[in-house]
Amino acid sequence: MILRFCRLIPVTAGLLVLLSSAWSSLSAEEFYRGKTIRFIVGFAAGGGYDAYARTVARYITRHIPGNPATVVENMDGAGSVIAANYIYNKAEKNGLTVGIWTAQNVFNHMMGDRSLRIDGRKFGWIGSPSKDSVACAIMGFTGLKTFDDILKSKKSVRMGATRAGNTTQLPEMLNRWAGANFEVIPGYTGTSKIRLAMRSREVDGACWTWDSMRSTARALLDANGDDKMIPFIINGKWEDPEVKDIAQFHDVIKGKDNLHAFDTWNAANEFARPFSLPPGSPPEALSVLRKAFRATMEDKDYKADAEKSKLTVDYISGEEVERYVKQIYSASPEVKQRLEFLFRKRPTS
Amino acid sequence: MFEYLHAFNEGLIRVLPLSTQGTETFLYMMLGMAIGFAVGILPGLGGATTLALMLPFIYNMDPYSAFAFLLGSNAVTATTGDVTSVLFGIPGEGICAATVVDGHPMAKRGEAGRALGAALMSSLVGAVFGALILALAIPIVSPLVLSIGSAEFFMLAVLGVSFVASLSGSNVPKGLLAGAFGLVLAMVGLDPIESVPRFTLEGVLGEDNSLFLWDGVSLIAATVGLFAIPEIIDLAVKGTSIAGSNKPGKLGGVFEGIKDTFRHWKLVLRCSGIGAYIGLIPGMGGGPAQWLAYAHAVQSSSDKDRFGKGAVEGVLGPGAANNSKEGGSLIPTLAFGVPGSVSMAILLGAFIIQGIVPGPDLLNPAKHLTLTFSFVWIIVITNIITVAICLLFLNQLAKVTFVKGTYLIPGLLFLIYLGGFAVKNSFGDMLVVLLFGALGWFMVKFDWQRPPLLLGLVLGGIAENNLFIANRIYGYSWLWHPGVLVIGFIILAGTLYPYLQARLRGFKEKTEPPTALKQTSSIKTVRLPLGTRMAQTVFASFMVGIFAYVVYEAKFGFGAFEPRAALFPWVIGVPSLTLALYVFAKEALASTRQVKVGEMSLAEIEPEIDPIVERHRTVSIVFWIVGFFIAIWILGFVPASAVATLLYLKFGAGEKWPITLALSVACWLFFFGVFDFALNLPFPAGAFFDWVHVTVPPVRNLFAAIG
Repeated sequence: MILRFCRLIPVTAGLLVLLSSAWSSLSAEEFYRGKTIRFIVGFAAGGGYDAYARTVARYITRHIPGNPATVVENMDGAGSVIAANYIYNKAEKNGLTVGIWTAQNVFNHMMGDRSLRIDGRKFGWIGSPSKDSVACAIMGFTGLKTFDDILKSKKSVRMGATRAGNTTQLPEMLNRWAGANFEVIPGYTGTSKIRLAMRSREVDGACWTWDSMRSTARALLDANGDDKMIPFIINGKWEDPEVKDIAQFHDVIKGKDNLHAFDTWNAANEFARPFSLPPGSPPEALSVLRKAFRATMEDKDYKADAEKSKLTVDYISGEEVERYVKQIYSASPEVKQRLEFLFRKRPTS
Repeated sequence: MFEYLHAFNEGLIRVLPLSTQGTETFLYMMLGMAIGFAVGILPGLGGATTLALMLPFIYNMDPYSAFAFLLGSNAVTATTGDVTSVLFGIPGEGICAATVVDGHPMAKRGEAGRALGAALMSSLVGAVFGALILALAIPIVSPLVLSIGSAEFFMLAVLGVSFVASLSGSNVPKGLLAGAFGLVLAMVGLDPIESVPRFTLEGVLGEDNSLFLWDGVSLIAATVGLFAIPEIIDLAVKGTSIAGSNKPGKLGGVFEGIKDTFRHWKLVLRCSGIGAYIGLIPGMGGGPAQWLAYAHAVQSSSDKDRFGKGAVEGVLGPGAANNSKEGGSLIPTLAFGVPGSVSMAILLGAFIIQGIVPGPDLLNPAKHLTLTFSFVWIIVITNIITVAICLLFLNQLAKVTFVKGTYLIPGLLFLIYLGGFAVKNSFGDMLVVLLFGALGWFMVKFDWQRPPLLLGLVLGGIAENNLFIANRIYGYSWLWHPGVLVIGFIILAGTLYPYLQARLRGFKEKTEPPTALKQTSSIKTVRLPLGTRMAQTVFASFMVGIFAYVVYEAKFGFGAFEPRAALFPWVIGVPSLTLALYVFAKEALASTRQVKVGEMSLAEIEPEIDPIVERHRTVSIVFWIVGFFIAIWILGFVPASAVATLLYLKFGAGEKWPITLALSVACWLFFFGVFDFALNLPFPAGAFFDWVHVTVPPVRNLFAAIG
């Protein structure tokens, strides 16, 4: 019985090859018609990644020839490591499965995080709908207003933090490379808890991303006197009057090598929430999806929805994402060593 | 003051169908409520996930309609979730698990109507109470929330743990150990300070599979497994309906249940207060509120032995608390944009979509205060309507408990597994359900209490994080914070009160002659068969093994390279190991067990089942429970819902073909229609199709051919 079944395999395979050659004349339009594209989000429903995935999924279909259906699935777990591993190793490579997980995974893999079974260079990068600009802020009650004030102040400044990521790593880098004296207090379960701790004066400040600060911490930014949250350092030059004249990471980090290490670390923030196809996906699918992604980013309705949800729209093309990924992987052993202190906490192979 | 009253009044008018706008809002509220109604009843569909899915629809609504839609849905899930908890012993929502403990035994006694009446009425009281707290707290909200720092958080967790003793029933050492086991389960995953993976069983599961444990043990999967699987086994072993041989005559108890709510009005109000306060604290979530309320109900009762066997107070307490917490948890969300729970985090997203900044604006009469007060009214109105609808259909609902058990088992089993799966859309969590089902069954069998375990699981993380932060920031001076002292006093009072009460009563009893009522129950000592003794010893040694492993890992495993992550495991592990050894010795030596014989005893109500038949049925149902899991794994969820149901009904239960076919098709239609077709849950394809797939060239070849 089994033997007979085995004998059937080559026949079936042959039939399928025949079929596939017959399909070879099909255009992308015919390929996507009547199909469904799955968007697999590495985080729970309701968060930022989920919001981007759902908004993109809603509008991208009008820009794909054949107008396929789209469905968003949440594969929450281990800070999106599970989703990244799934997309790299298990997802079907047919151009119908798109992953959305944090770019930090690429950086962590380069640094040798053994839980990640991926190679960032091999994904089919479609693009990223946003980038993250890291920033740090301090509360008015400390009497400190600028990064200079903090450097001159004798007392140590307590920075609330979660167990990993921007909130812990930024103050640690500023301590090591810019002479600051921050005391990092990890253990908070999210930036909302840190904000509360800042209000109740349990901690003095915190670092995370400016986009999130200006929407979720709006009330604190608008407050006056002791309860006001004051951004004091940010990445890059901004026109936004709230952060226009404050210090920039590039100006305060001393030493060319340190700066280089910071840039390598920060490269992942430049394409924060990338959309990708599994490695080995058909190149035609990638180019169709890249085009559709760009068109979505320019779509008026997409922009209107994003604006309403306070999602920033920074289009980073798939090609650009590829360049950032390359930059991350080209880190020299010296740079890696310089960054190692951020990772001492998790055993790396 | 006048402005507040004005806004309060306007808020009500704005959500009632008195104007065109109001009508629109009202209709959206009804729609949201209908969704929440269904979501609450169906286990496995969480209120939070549903909210996330509803979010995109509010883009084009005005703020009043948007929040009526979302909040209307969210406000009723806890109420209808209690219904499932009572009827089937499966928590309809994660926050309704405590209702199972006494609500389901009532249903088994044929008192489903009374339990439901009590659950619904206390839910309504709780919801109104919570909304009232919200309304009253609005002017003074800031100092209220800001008074709670990490030190107070930690103390609240300790307060919860201190209730373990009252949840432990008659055997306190075992209860403490179960609580400690819960704390250990809470440690599973990345540690909160250093991100070190702890107890993720890499050696057993392999590195890839252990990743899903990084986020810890899923509370919902654990709860569903722990409570629902033993009930399924029980149902199958009894071989009757849920209510057993009890006559439906007792069903008229719906109004009895409503009366119970008012008979125990002080308890209901106190538990509503507990719920609202816990809800107010960001990060505590819905879990603790219900258990603290339950523990309080036990603690404040003079006859603790009735609990867990169908005491109506055990339904009233959590019923009130899991609803009042909704109003409470809105407070930090509105005042600071700091969500009190996952649902609130999603609601926060709704504020952002609507362009409203949570914070002072929402409390400002010149800006959004009317909207804020409309929330109060939405909670009140939706709950009144829900309870009214439920009361109308209650008698029909309660009849389910008189349906033949074998007809219910397949559908219930699928709902149980779905409950685990839907948390994170992860197959691993279904396995968690199964494992906790086994654990729960053994715990029932060997007389270990399950609620302390859940309380430990809920509070472990909160305790560890906040103790670390408080120590890091304040050294030991946090011990003198006013909030800490107040909570410390409550803990002391709560722990000592039962002893004082007992002393007092003991004193009275000495002086008064024993009443006739007291004599109806007596304690009988029965000999334990050798098999049971051996089995319970093995289970106790399993506990010893667990704690030995914790201590070993904390010393030589991850603790060796990251001592900060090992501190909490060490502090919990060492005393627990000692206690576990004591319990092990006691279990191994115990040749008798004390059984309380009296009017509340189940033994009197249920007919005895021949031990041989019982063993046979137990083995058979365990086989089917595992079999359903395997069927889901091999065939995928939707195909398995038809195939496994058919196999079970025909060969497991020996039903006739017509009913077997009809139920199988119904089961398939329900799971396909609701979860696959309508809700689009991403069920993994069956492994069978994967195996077949290996032999078929993947579709990518089609694409490669194009290029």
